[in-house]
Amino acid sequence: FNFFVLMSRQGKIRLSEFFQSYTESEKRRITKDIAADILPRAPKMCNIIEKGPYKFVYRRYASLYFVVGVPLGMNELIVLEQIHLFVEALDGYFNSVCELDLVFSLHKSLLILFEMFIGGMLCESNKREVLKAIVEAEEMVE
Amino acid sequence: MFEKTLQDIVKGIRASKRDTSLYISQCIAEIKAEINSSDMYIKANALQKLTFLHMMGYSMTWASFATIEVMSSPRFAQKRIGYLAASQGFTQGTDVILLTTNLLKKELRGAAVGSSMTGIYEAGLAINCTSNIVTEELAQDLLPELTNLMTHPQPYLRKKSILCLYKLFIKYPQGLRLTFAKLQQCLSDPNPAVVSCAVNVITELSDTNPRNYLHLAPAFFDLLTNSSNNWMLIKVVKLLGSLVTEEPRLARKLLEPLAGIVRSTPAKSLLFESAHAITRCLPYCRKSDGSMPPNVSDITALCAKTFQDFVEEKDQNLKYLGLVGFGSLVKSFPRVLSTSNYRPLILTCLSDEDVTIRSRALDLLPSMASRKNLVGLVVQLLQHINFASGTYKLELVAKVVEMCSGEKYALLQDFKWYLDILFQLGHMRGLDDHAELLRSQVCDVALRVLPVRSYAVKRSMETLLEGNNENYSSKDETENILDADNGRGKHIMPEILRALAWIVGEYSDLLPEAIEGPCHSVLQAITAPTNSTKLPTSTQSVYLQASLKIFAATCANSQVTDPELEACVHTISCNLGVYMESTDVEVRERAVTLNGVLVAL
Repeated sequence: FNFFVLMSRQGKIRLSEFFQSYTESEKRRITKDIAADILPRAPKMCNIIEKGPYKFVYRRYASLYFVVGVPLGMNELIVLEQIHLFVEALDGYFNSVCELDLVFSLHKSLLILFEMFIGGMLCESNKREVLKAIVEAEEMVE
Repeated sequence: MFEKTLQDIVKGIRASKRDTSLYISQCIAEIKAEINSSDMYIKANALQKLTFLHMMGYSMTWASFATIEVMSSPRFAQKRIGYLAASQGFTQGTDVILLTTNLLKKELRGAAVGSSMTGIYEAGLAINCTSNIVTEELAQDLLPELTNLMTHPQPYLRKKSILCLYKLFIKYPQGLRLTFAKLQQCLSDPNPAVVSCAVNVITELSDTNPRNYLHLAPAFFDLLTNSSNNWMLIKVVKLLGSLVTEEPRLARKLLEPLAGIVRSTPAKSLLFESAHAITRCLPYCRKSDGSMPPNVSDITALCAKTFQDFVEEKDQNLKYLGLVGFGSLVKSFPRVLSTSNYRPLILTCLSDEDVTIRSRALDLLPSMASRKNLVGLVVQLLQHINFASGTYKLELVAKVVEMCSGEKYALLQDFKWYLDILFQLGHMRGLDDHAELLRSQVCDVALRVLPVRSYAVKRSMETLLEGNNENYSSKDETENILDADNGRGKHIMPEILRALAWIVGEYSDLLPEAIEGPCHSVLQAITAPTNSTKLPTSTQSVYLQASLKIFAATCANSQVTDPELEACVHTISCNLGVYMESTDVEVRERAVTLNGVLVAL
């Protein structure tokens, strides 16, 4: 992955992680592009938008858009499945996650993201393993 | 003692509907004070709040040093906050990154020595952070520690370090050469997740440089046939697909296993990846004696069927992937799409609401065209063009022209029909960007194809005589023939008129004689100021030149009567006045020359 952004329907960013070093202005431009191209899409449309050297692959869960930027050669169906894995992990941790959970616990969701994806590549696909690591780490927080 | 926590800030932001930025600036001011405190707890809390605000768009570069302090805290919770802040806030240019080297080294080494889970998780944090912020110096420094972790007893750390190493290799390519042997060992790790990570990394590496990983092909072949983990299989398939460009023999060997996967797997993602990999292999399957292995046609049919199924699915994503797959397939088997059952499928995709799907279908069009179906195809496309708008319309028109004129008009049999199409396009609105293209096509056809020339001249003349009326919306489609005085005309692009005038001028000896006084009417049409002054000056200059040529042809033509000749002279000299005053130099010069010629006669 190049980057991973969670955006609400109103355009607020709930989580953003750039797996490569982008400058601040590039990050802003990407955010603007996402808001301009993805938020207005109709529900039945294809989840892939080609954008020059990379593509947006996104899926909408309730009021949140999970958007991933990937290079052109990447298999989009895999990306969608990985997004789903992440959502399931969030769901497992927060017990039926909703947008508010993410708003109040940014650092927790970031930690889950880092458990699953390092440098933009899938590290662990097993939900149980991911949650186990998170819970164990929590226990070390006195 | 009563500092705000992160929760408080979030609640505060949600509550302050109107003066959010004011509230945030207040918070930032508080954070600035807190972060300089000596109490680590307060410092860490402040940093956590700042990380949140950073995600909203506020800069946190001024807090880099504080971040490092928090990172070095012995307490796990605070350390975690520090590392998170670093991975979000540090950029490649952050100068304090140099200070982190020792800290990171300590963490990474700590995990190798002891086996307490704290050490493991701390190392995990360090790796998370490193993968985001690594610079060239950091990469060089941390390479030995991370390489060590690749063989750590805990698979947790093995996975993470492998993936992080990829990031290091990008910054420090030397490192790859030094650690490659170890990476290869990881491929045979007992833990499947670790193997998967190693495969991941090698796939990414071989994207840029397939040759280096060729010798690993047997190992991957093994994985391909033995593994059942879908995630890994997909990466392996992708890797093997990229290797075939370097090793053609691999292509033939791969066909069977890949076809096997295509036939058996239920997972759509794997299905697509395998079919796509097959299309990459196919160009290389030719044996040295030039023949194709016997199973190739079966496999091609299999791929085509798979992609067809995808396109027929209701799911838009699958449709898109099917089209992409076809695009890849036609590179090696261009004829695959010209069988008739694919045509309606792809044409429906053209009218899909989704722009992504449409552009893919558009790319497939040139491969679908063949001699027999070109006419039908273009007619259907014209219908689409009528309904389309904006850039999409332009793309469609460009495609039509590309299909018809490709390879020196290889597919075109009836040039008269093509001219008709070009004229039809010329009449449409909204195509001004392509005016130049259409113009050159019309001229090209008239120039090259002798039999059609007279037809071209006839049509050009008719159109010129209809006159150009930009302001009038042409609702009626019936042609107004030879009605020069009638202001009602169809819309036509000025660029096209240039082409038409040139054609009529060049080949004026072919002007049909059946019509009463053709030369005069044409001359009248093109020189009349009411018609022409609205046109761009380039068109005007061509008009003038054409008038001269027509006039010359008229003089040479013995069938033209004297009165007509005089009428011509009269018309021209009357109308020239306007042109001689024109601001454009070229127009003026030509007008004056023309006038001179006439006067001399």
